[in-house]
Amino acid sequence: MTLIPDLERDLVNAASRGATVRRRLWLGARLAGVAAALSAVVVAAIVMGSSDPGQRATAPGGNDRPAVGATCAPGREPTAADEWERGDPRPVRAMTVLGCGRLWDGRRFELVARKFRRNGLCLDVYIPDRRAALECAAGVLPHSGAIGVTAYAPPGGGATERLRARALVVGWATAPVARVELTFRSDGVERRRRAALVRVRDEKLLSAAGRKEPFGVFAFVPPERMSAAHLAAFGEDGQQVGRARLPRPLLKAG
Amino acid sequence: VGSGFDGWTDEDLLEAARREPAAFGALYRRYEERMLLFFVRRVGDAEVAADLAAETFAAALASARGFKRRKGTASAWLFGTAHNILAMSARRGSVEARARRRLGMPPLLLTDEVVERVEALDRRALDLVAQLPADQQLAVRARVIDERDYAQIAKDLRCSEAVVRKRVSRGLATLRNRLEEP
Repeated sequence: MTLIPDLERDLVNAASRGATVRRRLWLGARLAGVAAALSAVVVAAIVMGSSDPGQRATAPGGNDRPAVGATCAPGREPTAADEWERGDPRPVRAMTVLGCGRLWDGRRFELVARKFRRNGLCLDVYIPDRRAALECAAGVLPHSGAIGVTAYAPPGGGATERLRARALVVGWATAPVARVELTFRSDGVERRRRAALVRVRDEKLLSAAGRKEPFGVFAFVPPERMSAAHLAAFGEDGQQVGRARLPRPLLKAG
Repeated sequence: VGSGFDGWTDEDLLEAARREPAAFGALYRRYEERMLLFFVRRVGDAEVAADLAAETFAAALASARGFKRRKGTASAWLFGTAHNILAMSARRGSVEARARRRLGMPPLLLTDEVVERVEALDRRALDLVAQLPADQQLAVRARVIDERDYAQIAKDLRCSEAVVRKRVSRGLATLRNRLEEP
């Protein structure tokens, strides 16, 4: 039994694909050699000056687009922005990635500032591999405290259906917050999980987000079974700087 | 390790990975914990450590043809790759993913349990280091955790390099055996 069984399986699959590709290449090279020899004979025999241009070979399923969400490019457009299924119909002037994180289920997300052609701006948690987002999820500052939940998408709702997420919680963190942790009880055990926190401190990115002060946005997929849950924020020195409650429906679900 | 590769050396497995995918699986099982531990000690985050370990194994698989046993052991080659991946990721400010993309591997899926197990591995390893005899503990900490040269360690401990090497080797062998215990 390995610690990460999925990784072993993925590596063995990749090794199998590699072996198959190499065998195909070897066979292809042999066949190409035979074909080249035959065509040389034919050409020599017929002595024709045909100059039919050969077609350029294309890789099967050739798609040079990088793996979705594998890289993060703050300051640039979101990954596959043109394929983003937006629910919000307002015309957009600019979309800028402010930072990236990864949810507990392994999916990467991009925190995107979406400036509208007219007034207004939304901060979205965009999941590239679903081409969908929890839109305008982090646009409202908490009234008080270091952190606050700003959006909750329940399971089976429009956004979570598009995202194929159990549920999604997004929140805002003030500048000193370096870590956000969810503490909860599950199966009789107290557990702690760190939420993905994207901290925005660069001046250009802050300007794209329409803010002057550094801030952070956290996101997490809540565990399926949990009770006695709360969020805690910690500063750089590891000291707790704030706490926040979870949305009521989430606690009821636990 | 089981599954028919018990008598194989690491070098055998790495070389066989070119034609027999399961051999690489066996090599992965042998090195998974050590690789995760290597990263989690350096980055302090179980999820990032898992990502870095995944990239290291993918890079090792992608370049397995370049491995030459006359130039060194499979272990040294793997951890050399790990060092490079860590350095590249630190330079870029994000975890390297080129090898996984090249191999068409999906993003690593981490569950709460996996993250907890990796974190527990780190705690367990530190506990095990603390249980080593004092001389081995000092040598292992200086060499593996602090990454100091044998010559420097020998000078500090006032003994020869050969003695330090022996202590590190014995300490690591003990740790390996204990880590493999259920």
